[in-house]
Amino acid sequence: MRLSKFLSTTSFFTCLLVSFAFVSCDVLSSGDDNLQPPDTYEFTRDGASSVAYPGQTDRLNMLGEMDAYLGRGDDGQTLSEQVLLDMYTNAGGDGGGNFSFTSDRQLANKTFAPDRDEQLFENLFADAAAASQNGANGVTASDGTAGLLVRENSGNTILVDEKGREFGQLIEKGLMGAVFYNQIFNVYLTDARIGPDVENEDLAEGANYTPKEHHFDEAFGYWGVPVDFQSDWPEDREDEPRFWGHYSDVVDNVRDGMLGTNSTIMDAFIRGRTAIVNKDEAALDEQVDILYEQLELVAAATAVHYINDTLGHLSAGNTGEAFHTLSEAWAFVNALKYSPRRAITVDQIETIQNSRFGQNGNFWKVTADGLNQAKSTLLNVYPDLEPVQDEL
Amino acid sequence: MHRLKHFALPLLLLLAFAVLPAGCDLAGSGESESDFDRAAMLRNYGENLALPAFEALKTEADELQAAAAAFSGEQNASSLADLREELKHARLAWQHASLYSFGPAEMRLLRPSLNTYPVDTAQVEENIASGEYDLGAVGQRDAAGFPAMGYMLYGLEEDDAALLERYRAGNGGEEALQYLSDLANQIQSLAGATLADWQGSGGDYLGTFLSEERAGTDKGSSLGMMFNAYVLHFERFLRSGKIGIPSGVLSAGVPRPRATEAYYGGYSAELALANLRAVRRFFRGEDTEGIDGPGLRDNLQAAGADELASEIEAKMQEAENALQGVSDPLSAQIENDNEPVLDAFTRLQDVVSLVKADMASVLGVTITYQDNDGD
Repeated sequence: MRLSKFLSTTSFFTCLLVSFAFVSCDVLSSGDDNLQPPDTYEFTRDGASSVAYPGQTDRLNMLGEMDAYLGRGDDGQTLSEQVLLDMYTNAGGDGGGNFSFTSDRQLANKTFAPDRDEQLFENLFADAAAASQNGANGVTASDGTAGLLVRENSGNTILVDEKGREFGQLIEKGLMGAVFYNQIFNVYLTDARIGPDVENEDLAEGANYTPKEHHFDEAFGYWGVPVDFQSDWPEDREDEPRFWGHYSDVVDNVRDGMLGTNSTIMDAFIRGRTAIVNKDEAALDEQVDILYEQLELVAAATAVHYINDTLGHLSAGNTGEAFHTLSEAWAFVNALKYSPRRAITVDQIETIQNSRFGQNGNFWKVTADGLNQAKSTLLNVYPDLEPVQDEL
Repeated sequence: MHRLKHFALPLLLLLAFAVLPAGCDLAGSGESESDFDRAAMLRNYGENLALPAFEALKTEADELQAAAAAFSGEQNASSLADLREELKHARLAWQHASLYSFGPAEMRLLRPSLNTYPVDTAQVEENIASGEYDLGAVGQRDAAGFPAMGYMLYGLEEDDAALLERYRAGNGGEEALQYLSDLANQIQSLAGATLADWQGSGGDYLGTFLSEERAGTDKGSSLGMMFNAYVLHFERFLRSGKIGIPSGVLSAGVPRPRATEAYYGGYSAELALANLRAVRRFFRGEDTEGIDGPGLRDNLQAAGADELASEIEAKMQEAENALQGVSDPLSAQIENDNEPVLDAFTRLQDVVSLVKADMASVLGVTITYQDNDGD
């Protein structure tokens, strides 16, 4: 039902009058087709929030707890393949007893289909568990042998495979791509979920949102940020953005905020959601385009950031630190493949992973030339990174 | 990622200045660009210290390669002596160039490629036998560069007669000569490429280094990068690498004499002393001819930190005196009388803390090389 301008103006003044008495005042009732984008990712209907993404929050928490479990392998304890599988499939609703919470969601069934076909993560769990036996026996990793490497700056160890790749990064960042980005890119931002034909009048059963609104919120939920996230994010709140939100923040403020990904992406989410409320398809498309481009840019920028770090660590003689950051770079390059609109080709991704980061993806064979070529490829494909290539 | 938030200190200092009586001596804050020409200082470092250091390295690397080629042509006592001499010259040149392990040198991984030690002799032997290796690979660092060449010229056999015999045809000599020549070529090619990166006719990193964009003290600024590289070098590659690790300081007091820089050639102490002298000259802004240009010491003085500048000078002198009490071969010194080596380590450590904490804070530069990304 639509309110006339007169009515809405009247109700606005009425509101203004009573707002001294009531805490909240709902100007923007359903069907108002002229919502202005709010400052934060907060939307209401009839005075109550219309935003919900508990399933995404669950999955972020699952990955967080899997990551903590993988940390035991870094510390030289043994890892159980079964525990990792149970967490991945959320066996019994509590990750086989390994989650601190219960949920009816899981990471496994949201994983990029080709990765599932190849058993990519199941194989990594098996390899990590096997390697952790070496770690528990105090085996130092070397070319061809999985085991532990010391990160020189902290003295902590990491568990790496026979190619020097850190399992924790391959799995954690791997799932950030194969689940979180995959779901944003291939599910929630697609026409099937937020296109013109998706229900945007009637509310979903028992909910305060339309299906279209909710799908968009689920994309936002996978990004992992507080609702008031923005550029030049304060240091005392830097723990709040998680996973992709955290990495946006890592690259946001280079050279006086030249990339500014936090606000660019946040604004696109807010404006996109506003466009859905306003039933403005053109405005929504515009924001979705920005999201595809900028979310991909974050992964590419983070990859360049970690290539730079790797060169620095190698130059300083720190192999453990270097293999940690190169594992990060490897996984962030990998994440680029999940966007159907990717600017980079699968060939380029695989060349970086399997040649530039060492022959056959073996970090022990990585060279300065290879790292610089990988960086050049990324700068060519993502020219926005050119001016900040050395500061990332 | 760490954002630099060091405007609180200058602000406090400004307030302090406002309420202090004139003539009160207070350490500066690195923001006093008004009375110190930082651009001139950077130009001095770039044009008169860094660039000549890479030019000298390139010259010596060319001569090393030529001597290796001559040795390949004829293996005798004289060609071996020439080659050893050229290796030493190149390693002495490296003691200057290694201070500039940022920018092109970092991009090309010059330091790990040229000077990783101790040598993995098993890897070297395996490489000689297989003929299959990529000397640029991370996993080959300890079988490449100057230390590996040192092993090839001094440590491959028991004595010089046997060594020359090893290189002669029919004894697998071709493979050994091939490896020697590959080592020399790699050193030459890296030294040449890094110099070209710095030169105006090449990558013009000197231009980048002096550009307005890189002024200031932030992460990515020329001063920030250069100072971080300087302190990192001092702490990890001079203090620990050349002295601390071989003397056992970092291995529960158990010495590691084989972990000296020129273990096979036996002149590690000489290299360490040359490096400390290069570090001292750098502090002053002095080139290898002894011509003193604007340097970090002047910057400290301009910022009102005369006392700190004098203290650093004094401690560097003490470290140099201590190092002069260490004899070559350093490995023998460590095994027979480790005390002077441990003393040298302590003296070097005294300088490190002054440079890394006090000097960094006066300059307004943040030490970033130990940052972890927290995951």
